[in-house]
Amino acid sequence: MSGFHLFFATDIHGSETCFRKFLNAGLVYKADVLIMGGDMTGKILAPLVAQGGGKFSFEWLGAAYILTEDELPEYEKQMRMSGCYPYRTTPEEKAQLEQDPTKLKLLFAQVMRDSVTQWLALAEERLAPAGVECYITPGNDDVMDVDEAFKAAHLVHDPEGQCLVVKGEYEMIASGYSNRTPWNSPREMDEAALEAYIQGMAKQLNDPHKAIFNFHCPPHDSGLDTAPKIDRTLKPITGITGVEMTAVGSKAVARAIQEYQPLLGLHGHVHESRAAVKIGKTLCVNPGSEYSEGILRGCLLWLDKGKVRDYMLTSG
Amino acid sequence: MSVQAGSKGFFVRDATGLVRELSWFDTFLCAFGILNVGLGLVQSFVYAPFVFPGGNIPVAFIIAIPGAFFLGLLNALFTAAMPRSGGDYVWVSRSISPLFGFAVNFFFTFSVIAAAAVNIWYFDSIFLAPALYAFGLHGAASWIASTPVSAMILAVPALGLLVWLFSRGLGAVKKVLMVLFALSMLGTLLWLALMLFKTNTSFISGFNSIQGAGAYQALIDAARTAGFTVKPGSGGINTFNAIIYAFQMYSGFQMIGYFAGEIKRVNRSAMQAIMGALGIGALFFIGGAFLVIKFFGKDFVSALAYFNNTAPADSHLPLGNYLSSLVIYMTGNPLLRALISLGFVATSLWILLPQMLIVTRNLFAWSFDRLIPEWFAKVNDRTHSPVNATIITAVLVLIMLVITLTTAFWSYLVNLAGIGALVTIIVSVAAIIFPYRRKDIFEKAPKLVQSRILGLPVLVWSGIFTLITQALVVVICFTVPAIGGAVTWVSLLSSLSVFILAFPLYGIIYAVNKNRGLDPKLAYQELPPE
Repeated sequence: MSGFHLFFATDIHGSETCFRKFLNAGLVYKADVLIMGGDMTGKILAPLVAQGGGKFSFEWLGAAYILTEDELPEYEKQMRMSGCYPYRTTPEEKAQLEQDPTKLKLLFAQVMRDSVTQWLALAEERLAPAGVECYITPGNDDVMDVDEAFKAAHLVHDPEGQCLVVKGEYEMIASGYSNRTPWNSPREMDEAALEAYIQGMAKQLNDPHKAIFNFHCPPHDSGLDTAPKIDRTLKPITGITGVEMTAVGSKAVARAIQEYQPLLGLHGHVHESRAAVKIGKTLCVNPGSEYSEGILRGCLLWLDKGKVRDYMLTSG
Repeated sequence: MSVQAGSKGFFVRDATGLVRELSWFDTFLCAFGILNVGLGLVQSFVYAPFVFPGGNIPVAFIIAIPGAFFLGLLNALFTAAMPRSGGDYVWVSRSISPLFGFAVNFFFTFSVIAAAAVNIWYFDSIFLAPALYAFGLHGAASWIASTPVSAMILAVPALGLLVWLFSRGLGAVKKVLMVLFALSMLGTLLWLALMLFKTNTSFISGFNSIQGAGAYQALIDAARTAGFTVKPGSGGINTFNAIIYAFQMYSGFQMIGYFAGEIKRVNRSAMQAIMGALGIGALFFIGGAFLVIKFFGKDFVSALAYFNNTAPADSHLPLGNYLSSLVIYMTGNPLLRALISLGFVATSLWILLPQMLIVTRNLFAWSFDRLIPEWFAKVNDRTHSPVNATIITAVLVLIMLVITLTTAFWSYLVNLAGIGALVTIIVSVAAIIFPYRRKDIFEKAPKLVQSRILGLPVLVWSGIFTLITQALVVVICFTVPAIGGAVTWVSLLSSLSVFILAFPLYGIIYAVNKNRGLDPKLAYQELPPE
């Protein structure tokens, strides 16, 4: 079989189970290139509060625990595998964190950076023998602090804002930025700024029709960006058939794809909008995300002679 | 980025998608909306008094509650265990295998198409004629009521209209859906209120004033003369067997699984919403069935059902032998007649829209999984509506309608209850084996899902009891000749053929996809998490 296999996954939100599955996808799917499309960091921090006498209290999966220090690692592992950051602390520090959002914000940034550093080290260790190319773009929910972790990596590349070449043949431009969201996440831009940013990268392409557009945010109203419609209080709006859905993708991304007609669009951001669609000549995919159940959703593609010969949405 | 202390001993940072989640009450309203009380009651009384003569339908609705409870429990627990997965297709795929997941979904999709066809037939034969009559279009009403093929004639423009509506986008569909739902609820409540506040004597009087003196008793006598009998001592068993119609009505809340990711504390809320909808829905169905018996009279509704299933014209009723056809006798108030009749029309139409949505949604999912060509998932460039999938769905519904009206197909297929029960049996098997085959997911599920009774997970118990009740439904459907004709090998195999067909179909698709390049088995290949 000529050409190569590319595996794309996204939005694992701190789930170490999913990250480890992502690394193993190279072997299982026989993928030569692994691309993670962003939002790799988690949303939840679990304080394990020292109670004295070597015991810690915490809550997990709806139950309250008081355990000895020796018993903690098993639960800390469970938390990390599920996308939650365990953090050993004291009652005093916990109280401070509850009162001081700035302190909590700094702590979140620290645990996320440490986690990404550990993940990248694991990736380097696992991928080196296989010779797999690996690209991981921080997404709109990933704080800027995690960029630091990529500087120490050798085999894993952060392609943000760059035009680089995959497998020596396919140009790829990438960004984890999204258009504005109601959550004011760390990497957002107005549509106009996002359009200028994308155009800046796209103009560097030698052959746009053979390029990969690796943009975390999906194109607007494409079927890859259908999310629950929410009211001003961030509550989903319901109708008699369930939650009302609406398009939340980027118009700048949509225009770039329509204008340049690249070979492939790799997207994420909207977990519930798992789909593959053709926009003109471009195959655009959003594999969706089910990280909370420890399931890695992805897309396996076979690229050959400047074409997508075959693709498949996966659930592993 | 903003961060906050969580209420459950966690700190949570703001991130995309962290919405204020749906309360159990929001979810309950969605679940309750799916239980279509008006259509359900009319449908039950079309068949049950004839198939199970002497059976007590309100009591059948009561007896069916435990079975519906376990089915609801199964759905609530599966939803809590896999809130992001999107329903039974994935539950079965993960618990048993993708092949069975596809077979179940294929079967389910077929039954939804068949149900949509039946609903068009109902719309035409049961609901449209009384509505036209209420609006003074007596000639058109009589033609529709007396012309069986009118459903086919009307289905073409009706389905064309639906395709046009869907081509306008989901927003347009939802607006129409809201209007139809409001009309349906208004009509149903007015209908129930009339039956509650008026007496059987007033109905007899209204009926006789239009049909002629003594017509009410004459119709009952005519049915007896024509052959309608209640076998002595059969009331108990016939009441029990009539639960198959009750199970048909207590369904639909499974759709909660499709949007469970947005439900607040899904493990509790899904349970509360499903059980709440089931409880309130049961009250409506039981109460509604009691009112029907009280207001129209048991012998009268039995006679109507008898004529309807044997010789419809022999009742000499101008608008057919359905509860919805009796509105003209219930009240002389033209506004009430119009609102109730319009409500019945809306009730049959609004359920058609979600059915079309389910089929197009499944076609999309199959297309994304490369089980059918990408062409099916193509959307209109301007409206982004799934035009191809909608046209295909409409054509399939039309084909099914023609088959339904012109052949004995339904006799072979037994009926929708039997088909639905077969599908549900597979889902219940998935529930029974899930805790053991997918320990990785089960052990991370909320405590409620992991809770045990007598050493077995509650999910397993719900699967066992659902399997038993659904098997009972299958047995009733396959052994009572009045439901689907005499049971023969042909009818048995025909009933199973839709499910069995999915297996070779999957095999062919698998081979085609494998030949194209990537091995399809990788689509659900478990990745090691080490």
